Amino acid sequence: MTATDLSKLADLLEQDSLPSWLREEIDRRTSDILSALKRGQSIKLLGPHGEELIIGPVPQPAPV
Amino acid sequence: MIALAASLLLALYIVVPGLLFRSLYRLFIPLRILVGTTTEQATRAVITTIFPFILALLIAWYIPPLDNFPVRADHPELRLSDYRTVASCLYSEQQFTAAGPSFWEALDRTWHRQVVFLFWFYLLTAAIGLFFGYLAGSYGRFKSNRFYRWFADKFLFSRISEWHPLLTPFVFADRNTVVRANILTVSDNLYRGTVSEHFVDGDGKLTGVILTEAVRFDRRSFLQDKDAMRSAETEAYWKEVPGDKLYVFADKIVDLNLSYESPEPSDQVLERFLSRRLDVAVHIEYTKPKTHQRKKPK
Repeated sequence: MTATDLSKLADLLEQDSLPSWLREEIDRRTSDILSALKRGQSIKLLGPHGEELIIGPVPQPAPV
Repeated sequence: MIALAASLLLALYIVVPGLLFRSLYRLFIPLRILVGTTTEQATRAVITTIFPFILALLIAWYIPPLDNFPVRADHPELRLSDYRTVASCLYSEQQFTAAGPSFWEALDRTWHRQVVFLFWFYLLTAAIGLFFGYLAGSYGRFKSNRFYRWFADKFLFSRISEWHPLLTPFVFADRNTVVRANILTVSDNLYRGTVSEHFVDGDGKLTGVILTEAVRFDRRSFLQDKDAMRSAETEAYWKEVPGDKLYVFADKIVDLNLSYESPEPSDQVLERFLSRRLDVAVHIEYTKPKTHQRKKPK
């Protein structure tokens, strides 16, 4: 492999390297997640081995 | 006689250190993934043994008491004249007869010096082999360091078979990452499974892949049902392949679709994926399962 540095290939491969349950859960609940975010709320996804993913809106910086 | 001495020197100074380095380096990473022409391989071998060679030379010449370990090497002031005596006597029988017992004395001192030098040379070669092997084998762990990335791109893996990073969890910090593949073959069969092993030839070209948990897509039934307007879930057409492991010859592969499942994705990977999938910036908190959590160093 000469055309691409290993580090570039590694970055490419690492993108989207998620556990299957998470990918499926996100696909299944996309509309729930989007509506929760629209309301400014967080939503929790649970994995089969006790994993927890909380997805929320990006916190706004406090006014100066 | 000179040919015999040259062969011995070649073995002791080039072949043995090369073998030592490679045998320790391969404890961390398979050597077959490093490809290149014979010249490139020879250059790599010289570069990896030149540092231990210079260091061993410095130790054997200038650093007491290491310059007399593991055997005593007396009379360093006679080093040059001893080498001349030994070389000329090996080259010419006339010189050998003329030198008499002084040849054996010079040979004895030379031999002791070489034992000291070779001891340190082999020890340092082994240490550097282990060190480089550890660096190469820990790519996933260290790749976030920009100095390491540069070193790995330019030196450690300047010529690497692309199949190793593609078909193993080599580039992932999480070594439990699973590589899943969908393989379409020339016979129009579609297989799905976990890549458990792959094989490359001497040039780093893929020769075959072993899939475990392999399933085959029953395309014929799928098309028949589709024509008959009997709709069913696509998943229902994946049929188990008998046997534990499915070997697919590389020359039968038309298309290879890979995905990587890391049980412990990093927060950055998660955030990037979600932002792209949902088309909105998000903040995440991911709690890893206790069974997968690594012990933090104290």
